[in-house]
This record gives sequence, structure tokens and C-alpha cells, in this order.
Amino acid sequence: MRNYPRKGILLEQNKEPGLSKEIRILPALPVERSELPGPVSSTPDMLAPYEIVSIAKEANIVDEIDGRRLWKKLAQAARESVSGIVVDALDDEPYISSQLAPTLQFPEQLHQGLRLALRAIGASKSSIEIYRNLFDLDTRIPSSIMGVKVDRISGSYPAESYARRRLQRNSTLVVGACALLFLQRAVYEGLRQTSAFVTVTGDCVANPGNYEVPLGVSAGALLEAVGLITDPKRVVAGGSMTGFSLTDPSTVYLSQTTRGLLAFAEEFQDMGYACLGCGRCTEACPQGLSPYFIYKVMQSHRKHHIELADADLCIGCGSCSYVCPAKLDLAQVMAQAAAYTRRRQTAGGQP
Amino acid sequence: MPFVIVPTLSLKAGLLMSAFLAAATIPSAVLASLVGRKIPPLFSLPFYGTVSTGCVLLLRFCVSGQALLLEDLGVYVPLAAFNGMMLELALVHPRRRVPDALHDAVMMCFGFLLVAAFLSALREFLGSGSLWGVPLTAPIRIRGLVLPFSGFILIGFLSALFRRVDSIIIGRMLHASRRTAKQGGDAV
Amino acid sequence: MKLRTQNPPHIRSRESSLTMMTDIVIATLPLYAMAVYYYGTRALLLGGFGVIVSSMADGACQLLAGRIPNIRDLSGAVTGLLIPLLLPASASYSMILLAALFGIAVAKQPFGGMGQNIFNPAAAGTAFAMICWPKSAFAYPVPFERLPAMVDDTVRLVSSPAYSLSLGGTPNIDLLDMLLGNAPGPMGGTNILVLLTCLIFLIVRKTVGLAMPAAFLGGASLMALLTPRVDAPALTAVAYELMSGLLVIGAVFLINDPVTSPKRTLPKIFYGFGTGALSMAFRHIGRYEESFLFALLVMNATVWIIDVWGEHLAHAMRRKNREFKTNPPVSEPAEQDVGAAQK
Repeated sequence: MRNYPRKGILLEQNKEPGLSKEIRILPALPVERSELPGPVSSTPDMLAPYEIVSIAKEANIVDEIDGRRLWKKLAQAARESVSGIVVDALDDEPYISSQLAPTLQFPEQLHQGLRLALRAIGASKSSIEIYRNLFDLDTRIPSSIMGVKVDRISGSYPAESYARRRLQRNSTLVVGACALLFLQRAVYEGLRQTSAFVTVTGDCVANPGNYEVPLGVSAGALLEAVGLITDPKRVVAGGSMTGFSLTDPSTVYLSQTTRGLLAFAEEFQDMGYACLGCGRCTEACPQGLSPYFIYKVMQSHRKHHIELADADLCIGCGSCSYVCPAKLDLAQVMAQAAAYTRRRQTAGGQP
Repeated sequence: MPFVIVPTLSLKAGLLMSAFLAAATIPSAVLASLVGRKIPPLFSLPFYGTVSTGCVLLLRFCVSGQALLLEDLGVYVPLAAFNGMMLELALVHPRRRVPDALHDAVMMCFGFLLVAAFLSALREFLGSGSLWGVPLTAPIRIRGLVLPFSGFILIGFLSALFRRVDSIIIGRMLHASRRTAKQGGDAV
Repeated sequence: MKLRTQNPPHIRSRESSLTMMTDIVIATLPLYAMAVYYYGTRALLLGGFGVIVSSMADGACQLLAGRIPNIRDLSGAVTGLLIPLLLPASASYSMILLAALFGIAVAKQPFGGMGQNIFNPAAAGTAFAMICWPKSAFAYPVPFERLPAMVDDTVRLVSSPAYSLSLGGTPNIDLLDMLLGNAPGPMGGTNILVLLTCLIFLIVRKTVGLAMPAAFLGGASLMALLTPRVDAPALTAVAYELMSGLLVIGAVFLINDPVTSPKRTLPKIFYGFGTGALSMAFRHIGRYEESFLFALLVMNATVWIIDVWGEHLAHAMRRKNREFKTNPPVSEPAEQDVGAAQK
């Protein structure tokens, strides 16, 4: 059990009811079958690594954790001879379970996909990472899936970005769970990736859950197909902490990396509070920065303290905005400060 | 600024302070415009210092009966002899004519007198409950006003008040000029 | 559908400025209850008067500054509740009025209002009231004697244990009595047991942290231990010093004011310790029997520079780990997402 980070915030995960429901394809949004040219191999276990990579390339599989093409990741990992693969099913943002649900509901396909990926890069060690701080779940998370060890990562949000960076330093390839599922489909059934797994949930959604939706469908169409109880006040595409809110869902199209679509009925009340100076943002920042200090410095016209505040270390997790009692948009201010610091660094000629 | 805040605890003290300041400033300014050009720059500072100190000593001798008041003013009497206003006037005025110099010095001292009088009256009335030594009852008695730090805060608030009044007056003047311009039929 | 856009994160914690200030208001209620028990309903009248004056002054100053008055964050009300607790129960209404006006209109709003003030408004207002009425601010009524709504000469006023300590003598009140509040003193400052309970309540609710009050009381105790004013066993002297005057109520309410205290833990400890030591030092050399408020105001002025030192320290510690913390990966997927989604 690895524990990262020491700071950060503990969030209520709210993964139910979406996590335990079966992943379905909506009848209103059918997934198109696009077959790869050439016959399906009858002995997938005996494929050569380059063949697996070329099938992944043909099938256009995109890894949902960073948006890179899977074949490029596999090829690079093979060149660098990494020691193993870690399957990322962490899902540390509340409401989102679009990696965890397929992991639990399609374990066999995941295992086959994982074996293919291991062959492709020539490694043998593998594990699956799942977040530890998941309570009130209706399904039990097993300690191993088809013989592959399940690592429970404990720690406050943002555990996923820390886990990923730590693993990348230890020369391990991190691949999303859904990408491996699509790899298995490509090799065993000869299908291109034409869909993605998306969690649709929120208090306005009639049937919250994980769905397999075709790529290129608009957010508005997805919400209609899933069903809305009331008119939402906020629609968010992406994670609940790092997604972006939409003004017109019918013009926003879902991609392989949109892991969630949330529709909320209530909005934060704009009470117009000023910064209290309570310091909760400083306690919550996982990078050890002080958003309060940076906020004050950015508001003033004398920014000579900005270098010692190290704003360019901000990872954009949003913990500071989450805990702020005055409901300030600290994450935006931190992003501005980070950009400002980076500009000053390049202007000053420092690395 | 310390001159106007620290010693002005009562109206009498405020007026006396402005008198000392006037004694230090006006003769030096007039002398500067009369003979300033003839004095080499190296000797100008000691010269004017001596003149103003002499005048201050003269005034102090005249009011030496008011021992209590002088004790209130304390160290600010000798400080007034060498105050910045006097030096600035003395160093600028050699280039000007006597009436100009006199006018400048008198106006500066008059301004100081106004502020000192107002501030000291306020502090004495609200802080010590008297005015010109005569005990009066104030609506509220704020003893903390006699402290220097209250004087600074009071100056801050008063200057804010005067700035506000000023901006209202200027606003009205602008408004009036705009209105006359419109009524005049010009293309505005 | 009519949608509102908001910046991420799209979920926020349930705590807000209002809940934090409400917690502090709740923490003052037991103190008012004890004050009513000891001194009668005048305590409530003083508290209510303070709240009204402070809130109105707050709103008026915000109006003057051209902003829409926002007193919903209750910070004016908190100042108004704290000021009567720091003064005797026999304080006149004009004393409370002046303290509230000074605290809000001179010490808080001109510096920028809520969140930007350098000095604790309750401390500044009460300090000014102490200067303006040096005799009445330290003449306390006796517990269990009911006070009339308007205090006149018939009320018996005595000096507090703090006065005895300032003269160098042991107070003739039992330590247990002082713990329970059965001693003359500031209206909210005598009930030590109730105050400690309020502190525990605020810590459990996570409105305040443990570091600053502990460091403050530790600093004051250390100074009291090293330089006792009374001829008593060391721990007794420390107990007398801590329980007389405004130290404990300062530890609960005044030093934890989030606006006027540092943000990182080590600066907080430094600030708390410094204030404790300084207030004990002021007790030795000060003119009044209780100089904690002045020490607090002095330390308030140094808070920003303590914060900057804290940032320097954090910067130095981060430089060691910089290699691990650079190259943030989270920015990439978001960009990709936007590009891919808005086709």
C-alpha cells in the first residue's frame, strides 16, 4: 500500500450507484462496429510484439489517461525496455468510475489485453492500481484480478497524478484499463476503437451509471439518451475536480479522454466573500505551495515575491479551490500565477 | 507633520506652536530674499539657522511666563528653529522678491496655524474636556485622543474628509460648467 | 437548458466563511451564558449592543468605500460579540460603542476590510477603550452581584487578580475559584474552564488549529516560569498568571483570527510563542495590569513578514524535492480533451 501524498484533501467518492451497475450501450446511441482489414488471428497469444503494436495502431486506440495513442506508448516502452506495466484504474476523482467499472466487469478481457501489452513491450511484471479510499461501495474490490495483483493506493486526492509520476520515474509503463480492453477487442475480435467508457452521473441524471458511448457523440445527446430528471444548472465534461463546465452541451463532443459527464442541479451560491486568510488552501496543497500567498501577491501590483512562491510547481488538482471557505477561484489564480512564473523564467533565461 | 500632531494637545499649545514656527520661518524667508544672493552656499545653512534660532529665542523669552505650556511643547521649540519649511523657503527665496517671499512664508505659516488650531481644538475638546483652558462638557469624552497615535489617525481621517469635500466641490464645478456649456448651445 | 459555467473544481467543500464565523459565534454563547449567570442580563445587553454597533459600522464603512455592504459573513458580529467579553461587565455603553467604532472604522476598514486587515479589530478597539478609560476598564464587578442595565455609583467595583499580580502580591482568590470564573475580571476572561471547552470545540470543528493556542500559552507559561511576579511555588505562579487577565480568552479567540495570523505551521508556532512571551514581558513593564492586547497588536504588525519568512523556508525545502515535483502531467490531458471534444 503506497500512500501519497501527505497533504491533499479527502473527498467523498460518491461512486455509487454508477459503479455497481452493469455497463450498457444505450439503444439511442449504438456503437458502430468497424472491423480491421485482414483476418483475426486464431492464436493471439503467439503474436509477435510488432504485430500487436501494428494492430493497436490500425485500431486507433487512444489511452484515456493521457490521450496518447496506445501504439506509441507501447513502442516507446519496448524501446526503453521498461520493467512492467501498471494498469491505471485509480479514479480518485469523485463521481467518476469509468476505469474502475470496466475493470471489475470485464476482468477476463482486461487480463487478455494486459497479456498482449506485456508481450508487446517484452516485460513480465504487472499490477492493477485501484484507489483505496472507496467506502460505501456495493461491490467488493478483489485483491487480485485473474491472477494479477491489485494494488490499493491510499492517500488523499490527488493520488492519481502522484501515482502516475512516481511510476514513470520507476520505469514502469502506465496504461489505462479501458485502453487494454480495446486492445483485447482489436486483437481477439478485430475491431477498431469506436467507443469510450463514460460515467454519466449527477443529481439530475435519471439513470446514473457507466456507459459505453460511441465516439463523436455530443454531450447533449448523451444526456438525453441517459435521461434527465430535472433541468441541470451545471453540466461538467471530464472529472469533477478537473473537468470543464459546458454552456451548450449539444456542441461539445465526447472523446476518448472524457471520462465523465456530470449534471448537477445546484450551483454554488455566489455570496461574494473575500479571502479570510484562513490558510486552509496552504494546508491542502499537495505540492506544499501557499495559494493564499500567491493570491495576495497576484492581487497586489508588486509581484517581487512571486519567485519564492514557486507557482510553476502547481499541478492543477484544484484542492485549494475545493477547501476555500470563501469559495474563491483559487485554481484559476494558481494557473495564472504558474503561467506568469513560467513566462518570467523563460524571459529571465533560467531553465 | 510631527509638529502639528505631537505638541498640539490643547488650543493654546497649538497656537503657540504655530507662533514659534512663524517666528522661525518668516524672518528667515524675508532675509533670504533680501540678502540671499550675497551669501555663499557653504554658509547659507548656518546663517539661516542662526537667524531663525535667534527669533525663536526671542519669542520664547517673550512667553517665558507660560512655563506649563512651554513644557507641553517641550523639544519641539528648538526643533521648530531648524524646521524643514524654513530651510526650503530660505534656499529657494534668494531668487525671488521680498513681497513674494513674505507672501509664501506667511501663507505657509497660516496654513499650519489653521490645521494646528483645528486639530488642537478637537483634541482638547474631545480629549481633555476643555477649550482654551475653560472646562466644557463634551458629548463624549475620548481620553485617548491626547495620545500622539490618535493624532496621526485623526489627521488621516481629516485629510480624507477634506479630500472628499474637495472632490464634491470639484464635481459640482464640473457639473455647472458642463451645464452652462450645454445651455450655451455649443456642440458638446 | 440554461447552464452556468463555473471554473473547476466543480465540487466544493461544505464549509464556508459563514460556517466558520457561525462556529465562533456559537463558541461565544457559553461565555455569555456564564456572564449572565454571574452578572445578570446586562451581559446580554452589552453583547447585543456590541453586535449592532459593529455590524452597522461595518456596513457603513463599506458603503463609504463604494462597495455593497456584505455583513453576511458575520465578521462584524464576531467583533461586536468579542469586545464586551474583553471588558468588565460594568463597562458603560459608550465604552463599547467607542471600542466597536475604533475597531471597525479605524483598525479594520481603512486597511481593506474583511480579509485584509492587519490588526485584530476586537483587540484594537478594546485596547483603545482601555487607553481612554484607564480606570473603568479595570474596575470589575463582583461575581453573583446582579448589575442594573445602567451602571451607576451603587455598583461595587473591585480590582481583579491581575492588579494584585501587577503589584507583586499573590491574589487572595483560590485557584479553583479562578478556574470556575468566580473571580472579578473581564466578562468573558474569567471562566477558564468554559473557555478551554470552547477551544476544544473549535479545534474539533477544525475552525482553528491546535498549534497557535498551544504555542501562545506555552510561550506565556515559559515567560511566567522564568520571570515570576509572585512569591509562590513556580507552577502556582504560572497558574495565577495564566488565569488572570485576558490570556486564555486571547488564546481562544484573538490569536486564532485567521486574517491576522500566519498561514504555515512553523510561522504559526513562532507567532504564538512570540505573542505569549511578549504579553508576559509587557505585564512586567507595562502601565496597565493587562497588556496582552498591546502585545497582540504589535505581533499582528509583524505577521506578513513572518509569512514571507515561512515562504522562504518552504521554498528552500521545496528546492530539495524539485526534481520530483516538476513536469506536471495533468495539464496535458485537459488540453487534449478540449481539442478533441470541441470538434
